[in-house]
Amino acid sequence: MKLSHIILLVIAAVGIGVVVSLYGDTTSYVGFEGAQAIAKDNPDKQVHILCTLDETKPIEYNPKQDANYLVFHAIDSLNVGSKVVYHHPKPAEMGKGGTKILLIGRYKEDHFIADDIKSKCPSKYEEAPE
Amino acid sequence: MEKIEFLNESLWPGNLGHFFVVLAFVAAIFSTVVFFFNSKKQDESQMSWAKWAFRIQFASVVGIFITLFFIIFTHLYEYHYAWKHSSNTLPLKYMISCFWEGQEGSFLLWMFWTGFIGMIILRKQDKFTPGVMAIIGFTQIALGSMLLGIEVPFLDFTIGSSPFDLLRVKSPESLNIPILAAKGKAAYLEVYNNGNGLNQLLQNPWMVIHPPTLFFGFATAVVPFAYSLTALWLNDKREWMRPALIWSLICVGILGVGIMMGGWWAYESLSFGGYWAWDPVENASLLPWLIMAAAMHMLLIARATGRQMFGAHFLLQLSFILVLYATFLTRSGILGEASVHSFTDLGLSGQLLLFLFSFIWISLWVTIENKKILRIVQWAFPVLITLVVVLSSTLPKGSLDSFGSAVKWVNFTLLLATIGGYIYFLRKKTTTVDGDEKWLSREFWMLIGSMLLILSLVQVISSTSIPVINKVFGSNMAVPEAQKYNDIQLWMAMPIMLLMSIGQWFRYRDTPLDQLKKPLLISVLVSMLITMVLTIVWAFTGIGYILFLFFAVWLIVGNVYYYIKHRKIGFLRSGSSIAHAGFGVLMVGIIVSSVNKKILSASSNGLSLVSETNEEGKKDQSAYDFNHQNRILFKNEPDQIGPYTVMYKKDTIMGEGGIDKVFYIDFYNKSENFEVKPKIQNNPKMGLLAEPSTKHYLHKDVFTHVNYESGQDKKEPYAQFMTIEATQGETFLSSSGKIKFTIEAMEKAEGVAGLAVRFQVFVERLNDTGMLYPIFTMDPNNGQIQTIAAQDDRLGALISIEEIKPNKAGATYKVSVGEKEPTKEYVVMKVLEFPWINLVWLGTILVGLGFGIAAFNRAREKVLG
Repeated sequence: MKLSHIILLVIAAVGIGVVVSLYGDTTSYVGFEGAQAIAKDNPDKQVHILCTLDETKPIEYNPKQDANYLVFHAIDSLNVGSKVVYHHPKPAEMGKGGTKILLIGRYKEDHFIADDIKSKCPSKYEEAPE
Repeated sequence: MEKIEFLNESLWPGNLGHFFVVLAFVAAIFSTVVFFFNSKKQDESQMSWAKWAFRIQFASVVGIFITLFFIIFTHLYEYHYAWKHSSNTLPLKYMISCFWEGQEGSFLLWMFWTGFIGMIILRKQDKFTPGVMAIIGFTQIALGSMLLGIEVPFLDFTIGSSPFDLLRVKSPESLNIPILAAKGKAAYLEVYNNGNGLNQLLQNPWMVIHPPTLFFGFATAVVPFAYSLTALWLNDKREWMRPALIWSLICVGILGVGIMMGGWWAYESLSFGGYWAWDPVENASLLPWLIMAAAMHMLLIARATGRQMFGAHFLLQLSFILVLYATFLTRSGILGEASVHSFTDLGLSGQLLLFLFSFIWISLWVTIENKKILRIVQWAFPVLITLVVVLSSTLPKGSLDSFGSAVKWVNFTLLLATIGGYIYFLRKKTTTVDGDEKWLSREFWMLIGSMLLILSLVQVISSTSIPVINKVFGSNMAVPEAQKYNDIQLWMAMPIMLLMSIGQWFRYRDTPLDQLKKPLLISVLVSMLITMVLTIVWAFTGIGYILFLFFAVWLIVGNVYYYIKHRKIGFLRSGSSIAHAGFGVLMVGIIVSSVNKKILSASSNGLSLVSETNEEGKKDQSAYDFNHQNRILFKNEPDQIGPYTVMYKKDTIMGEGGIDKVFYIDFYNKSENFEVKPKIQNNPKMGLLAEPSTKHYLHKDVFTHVNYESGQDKKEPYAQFMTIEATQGETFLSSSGKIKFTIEAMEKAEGVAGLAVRFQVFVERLNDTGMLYPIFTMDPNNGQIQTIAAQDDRLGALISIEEIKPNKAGATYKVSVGEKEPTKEYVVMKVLEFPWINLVWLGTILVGLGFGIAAFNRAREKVLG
């Protein structure tokens, strides 16, 4: 067996290890209830939740009091609603109707703490003229 | 339906454009077929036909470009592309950027470069020319088909998407305006007299040069691929490597610079605060780069020693396949939710997959020598792949039933069989050298280095492909966060840097150990010393970061030292030293600018609404870290941010339609004094877009970004209206006692019909003052009165003049005063400091320069040899 083959095998093993650990460690898309269940076992584990903004409840953002504190409510795909806290300024596109948002974060006590919010406003890519 | 006549349309440019598209497509097919049939035995007259066809093809591509530019330049909004991507006021320099905002333009750009490269290759004819040109021509067919926009009869399917489609055809709803269809004549262009405009983020000088550079890099990847396949086709073992090497050097250099230009653009105009976010789009362009870099080193080994012929072929082919895969990822819409970039699906997914798989098919077809097996594979492969695609598309997300798992296994087996079979046949086809490499040989360490690059790719590709994997295997995984990439790639980069630093000291085949000892020892010692100093200066903690810094410094030192020792070889052979050292500079820049990145606006004061200690009483760092990253700055109230006193001085409304709000913010301390101008654009079509502003120093950047401003607050309406009889020159108090006002002067209002008076009212509230200009008008014909109120939200005061009552002394005025809470203007801002980020750009330039020199040197050798 060639020396290079041995090293090749080692590298391949590391590669497989990387891939396996990567896929084993990925977060998956869950709902708020799923996030709550995960937080019970593993409070630091990040989860992704696809949801829409609950427009019936107010968005609280008062920068004069705290510029890094936003509270809003969202409804996930299973129609479960939850309070969401985001320790950053209010994203510019939030609050427009029909906005789909991706929340990345974890559940804590009675609310979801979002580390990151990605939103896609449907009107952004609309083609029809106004 | 009655026939509608559409007025004022200019149809000839579109027809001309379509003609060029079709001509380019047909000419590409013709030249490809003729080149292919001459690939083994060249017939001169046929070759000249094929060459002319290719030239016509390239000329047509240029024709498409010019026609589309003409349409955009002359604002012909009857064309969907111009309407969607440009506007009347778009500056000339950004008109070219319209080409890459749309997918059609991007394919056009790619086609242009591929054609350009083909023209360069045609300048000299050798035994590879027809084979290589056939592959390039085939690429042009595939790219050209993306622009066709031709409907397949009876099948409700359109091949490609033409940039010359008419607005009214592509979006028929554009005609749904009642006045338009009157009397069978539609002057719809009177309504559509302006375009949608170019995305503000693309209106940046870097966006003018980044996409062409990147696409040139992508386009060059086809050349080594073509040489590799042609060599296999002609059973050439040696000669193909020279041109393949030159083009792979060009590809790695240009693609690398192109990728980093994108990073610079992101840093300058996107608000995430950095140049690299491990976004799928960035990753997609990195994939072919990593493999092309590995492939290029394999080629060097193969040229010098005859070893790794398989590796060179395999990686060169893989690199181009990855270009196609990256295109599929970013253009098919499959990444949809996984990225912040916008992806529009033009319905080209099927065509893109066809593009990808047909090139894999070609690779297989050239590689398999056994006629019998080939006959099976050439039919089996397309059938099976179609099966995989069809099955995958029917697979519901996250399905766990027996159908789902069966599909999963079928897909898995088929993909594995394709890859396995391809590797098996390619190994059979390429020659191998018996015997083991010496472990002190250059080829051995280059091989290891290439393997490590592949390893690095494995992590990037498996993370980026998660949406594809979800589709094919019905899983439900989320794309990992950027931090995960950083954690893994940090460790991957170290051994790669080690090899880049020592690799050149080894000779091909074998190196006496004595020759290595001294340079290695010296470079390690010097690097350790420098690393120690830098660790202290930059206050690095964490063994991973210090080790990374050491390897990066060693990479620079090792290569500089190598070149100084070998300076006799001349400047033209310094390419690899410069590129390697440049990569080291880049790595030093990356580590210092990210580890020592400071969020200057972070603060511990302010209201903390999360508990900063967890149940066990420990400080909850995660809760703390994401808190307080932004700071509120009230207008004209200086605040301390990091080492600076910062003041939000003023703002102005600018831009077309007054949609840009620019904030002028002063930063100063004892030694520094500068102004930044971050911007928020309230784009009616795209929502709020923020543009950061950065102060560049040689050794650091101060990056500022407005995340929120008082203008976004919900406006409180004016309430508590009260009416006061006032006279000129005297100060009156509103009945609440909060607002004092004085009518100072009045004049005839310009530009208003009838009797119009513009009042000048001085308003005072606490310590703030302001001047308001309400207007009173009366129509002399019917005595109708109109008042135009003036308001100042900062003071919370609204004044309107309701009535003028003339009397002997002059007149009294009935003044209506509205009140609300004064609005304080403010911005919520994030301020970051990136130390030594210029090293990132310097490193990139050096890498590009190194590859340029190396490619030039190899090309010169070719001329000499």
